[in-house]
Amino acid sequence: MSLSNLFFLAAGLLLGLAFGAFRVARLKKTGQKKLAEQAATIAELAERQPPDAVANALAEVHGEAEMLRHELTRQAVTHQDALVTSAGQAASEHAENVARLHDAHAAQFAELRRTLGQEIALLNRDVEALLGIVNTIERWHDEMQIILANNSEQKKQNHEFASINKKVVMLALNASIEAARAGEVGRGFGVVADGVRDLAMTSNQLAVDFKQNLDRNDLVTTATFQDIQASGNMIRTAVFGLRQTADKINSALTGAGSAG
Amino acid sequence: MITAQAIAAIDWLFETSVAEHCRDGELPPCQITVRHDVPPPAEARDRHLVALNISSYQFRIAALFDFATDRESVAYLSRLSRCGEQALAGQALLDAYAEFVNMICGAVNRGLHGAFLHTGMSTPNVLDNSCLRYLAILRPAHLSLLEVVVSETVRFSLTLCICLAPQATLDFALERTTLAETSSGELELF
Repeated sequence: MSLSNLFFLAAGLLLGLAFGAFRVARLKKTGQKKLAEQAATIAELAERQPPDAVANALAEVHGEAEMLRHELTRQAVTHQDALVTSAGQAASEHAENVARLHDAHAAQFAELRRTLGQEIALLNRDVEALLGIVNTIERWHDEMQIILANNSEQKKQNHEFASINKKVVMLALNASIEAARAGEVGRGFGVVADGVRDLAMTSNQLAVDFKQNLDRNDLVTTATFQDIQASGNMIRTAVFGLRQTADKINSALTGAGSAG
Repeated sequence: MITAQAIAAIDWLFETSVAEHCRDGELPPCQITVRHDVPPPAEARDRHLVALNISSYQFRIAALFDFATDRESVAYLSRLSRCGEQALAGQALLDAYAEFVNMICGAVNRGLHGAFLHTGMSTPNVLDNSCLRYLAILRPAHLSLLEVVVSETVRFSLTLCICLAPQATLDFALERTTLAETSSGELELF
């Protein structure tokens, strides 16, 4: 074996020894750490209560919890009874209030019915009185017939008057002719005849004007009366409507009264 | 003031009612011409003017029917009245004209209820035809003239004199439906 080989062998042994020493040191350190942890755990367990003591404490807690549950159940029953009692009282008070209000409303309704009944009786009385407008219109109708008859009579008289006037004109014309025939002697008579004819023609024009006035009278009298008559019919229809409404209200009140 | 649509509604009511009541089953439907604000027909002899009034609170309509009394007109009215032609003379003829007017205006009055809660109608009256010249005395807010041609020989006219209350405005429209049938021969008496 050469020297170099021995050197390498020695170096290898040294390296092996060094590595082994490193591993031993590392294992020792790990073991010490685990031992320290085990010691801490043993110390902690030593400080804890024993299992019997823990079981006893747990039994006490269960006992207290059971007592509390009983107490709560008792209180719940008490409250339930109190609630039932209160509800009964409230229902009783409510029924009394309803009965009191019903009586009050019934009294008010009776009073209202009595008042409305009186008012409807008055309304019916007024309605019946208003329907008397028919008699009023009939009275006006009779009076208008008198006016129209009077106008008609005046027209006849005026027509006769105009007819007489025409005859007077003709007579005056004839008189004028005869006066002219008589010459100087008849001159004065001729003047009188001309005067009479002028007067008759003026009268005739008056008769024409008078007839026109009578026509105006007929038209305005008839139109005015017809307006009054038609308006009277309109009012009568409206009053009939009021009477029907009053009857309906009366029936409703009677029905409501019998139902109550 | 009276509005155009109110005038149109009133004209339509009368036009429809006249057309409805002029049917006699023999002649074709009558021809009606409506004119506005024209002078009434000239005065003529042997004619009857039958007046009837329809009133509401704010207005009134004086309807003036101008009828002839010639033989053809009387024959036509006899057919409408369903009575013998011989029977229509004197007061009977006047009554027949009055009933004819009453039926026409009755339908119009009912038609007005579509727009007005309350209206009323008068009974008819017969006047001299010459009264038509003095319509201005009624101070109309509007005049309508309906010229009705029943046949070549039978015709009559209807003057509508619409009068308003002071400061009133007449404005309404109507649904153009058929007027309600009238109860035949029923006079609206007071």
